[in-house]
Amino acid sequence: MRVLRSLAADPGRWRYGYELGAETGLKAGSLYPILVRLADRGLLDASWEDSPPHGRPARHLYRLTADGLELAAAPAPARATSAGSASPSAVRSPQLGGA
Amino acid sequence: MAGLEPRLLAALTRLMPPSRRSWGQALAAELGHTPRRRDRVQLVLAATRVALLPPAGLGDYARAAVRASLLAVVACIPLVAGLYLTNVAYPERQDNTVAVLLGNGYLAATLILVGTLARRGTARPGAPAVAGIVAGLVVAVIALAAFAVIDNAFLSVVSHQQGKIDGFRASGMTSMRGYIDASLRATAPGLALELAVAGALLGSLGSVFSPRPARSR
Repeated sequence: MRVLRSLAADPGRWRYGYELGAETGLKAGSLYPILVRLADRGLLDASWEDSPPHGRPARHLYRLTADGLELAAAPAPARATSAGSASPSAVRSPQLGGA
Repeated sequence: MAGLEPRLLAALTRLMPPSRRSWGQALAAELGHTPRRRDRVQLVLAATRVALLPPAGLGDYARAAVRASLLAVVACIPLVAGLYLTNVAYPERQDNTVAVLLGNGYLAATLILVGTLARRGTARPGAPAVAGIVAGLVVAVIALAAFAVIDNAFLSVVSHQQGKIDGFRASGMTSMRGYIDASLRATAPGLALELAVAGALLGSLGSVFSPRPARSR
């Protein structure tokens, strides 16, 4: 839930994984599987940055989808139910390439 | 060693299903922005966990089954090591009661843990039992394969076990290897059924120990 809260704090802004890790206190080994699950459930959009610094590879950026924002705003019991048992029809791949 | 993490990440990315490889590429890109070795190791750990995540779109039961299979494979490592130690490295003519009890206790604890984790992963009521059945079957297959390898590769050692000597005499067969292989084939269905039933029961029991009905993040 820390990840959802952190992303929901500034919902319009694309965030780096490193930044999310620093905000939530989660190490990368824990953070990225959570991001993957959120994206699988259609709660998170992922995109590649458009103009990376010279000589550096483009990085992934993340922000909540409308469903993710709705979930982050929902009361805790509703969040647990929705995040824990999303139906297969609600699952989709991360949105890559298009910001 | 400086280039180890990129190579590991590339290998892990290749192991990911196609729908997940962009995550491996994203983690590799983060390496370029991560100077500290400790953080780079975390990125490799993240890629390992992403590679092991069940594919998106799997139903809750399938997801529980995939997790149970992975856990069973890992749990079999000490089990197979134990089979090697008790049958080859430190062989005894009779079964060692303590080793048998330890092995069965370890197996029971594994199946209970599988049920506990399945309950944490989904609220579906039958998931712990399904996970237990799958884990039991995986353990049965690996244990039978281990016995087949040990019995054939170390025939000169295992053929001194009293149980095998008695069984061989009673079988009327002319080859100890043939007898052992026939015994394994005859044992396989019963062992698989036994472990599947044990998995269903112990997996269901394990669900009792889960502190929450479903993962909430």
